[in-house]
Amino acid sequence: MNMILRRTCKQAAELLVAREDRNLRWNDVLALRLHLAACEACPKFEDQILTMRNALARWRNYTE
Amino acid sequence: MTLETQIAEHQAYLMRFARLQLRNEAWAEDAVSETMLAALSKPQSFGNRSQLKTWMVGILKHKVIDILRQRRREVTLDDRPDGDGSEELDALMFKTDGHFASRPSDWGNPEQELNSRQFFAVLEACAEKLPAAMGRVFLMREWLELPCDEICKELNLTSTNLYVQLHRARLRLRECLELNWFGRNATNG
Repeated sequence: MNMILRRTCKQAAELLVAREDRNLRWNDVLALRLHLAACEACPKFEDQILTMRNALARWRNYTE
Repeated sequence: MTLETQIAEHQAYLMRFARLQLRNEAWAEDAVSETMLAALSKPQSFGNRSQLKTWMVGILKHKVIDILRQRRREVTLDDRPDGDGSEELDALMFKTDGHFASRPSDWGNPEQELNSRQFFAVLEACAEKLPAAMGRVFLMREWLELPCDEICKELNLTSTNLYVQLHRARLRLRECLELNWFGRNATNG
């Protein structure tokens, strides 16, 4: 893998969180995709962030 | 049921959000009172209970944004200038080589439980635990649904500052939900 596109889990996790609030640069998008395909831990973290996204949307639209 | 009673019924719900967003009891009461007053002055405009509620939430959001704008200096003041412990959270999550210290747990596919009142109570408790300044910008993003550039403009923040705050807020919320909801479920079943 190209070193330029290598990210640690910590860096990948930072991108996954940042993605909730801003558009990532194209090279980060690509690096993240490559990392997620090769890593076991980060896809779980991604699922958690997406679950939070989903939960917050439900919470904000919840009517008793 | 009179309009007065219907409006009063929604007071507790509105106060919950106003408190969470403003983190100041007096400001929250102002915003909710003004919202109720606005609803009272439009007796003919509401078809049913849920329309009234939706309308009041919309008005409340405007009132809340006005207050945040007027109080922007106080709103963005970090109440814990010596650091808010976010660096420690980072250090706990990751080893020095950049790997996760422990594998993130499986939160499953919790479609049903995410709609439960108990879950929302935990979510709100977790949001309430955020430091005030961080909690306010996080709620501006997630409850008021403002785009980042608008939050920066309203509060006169740099985008870097805002992104750092939001990032920390999301990590803390994740941690809190893991401890108080998803982790609990994992051990129970």
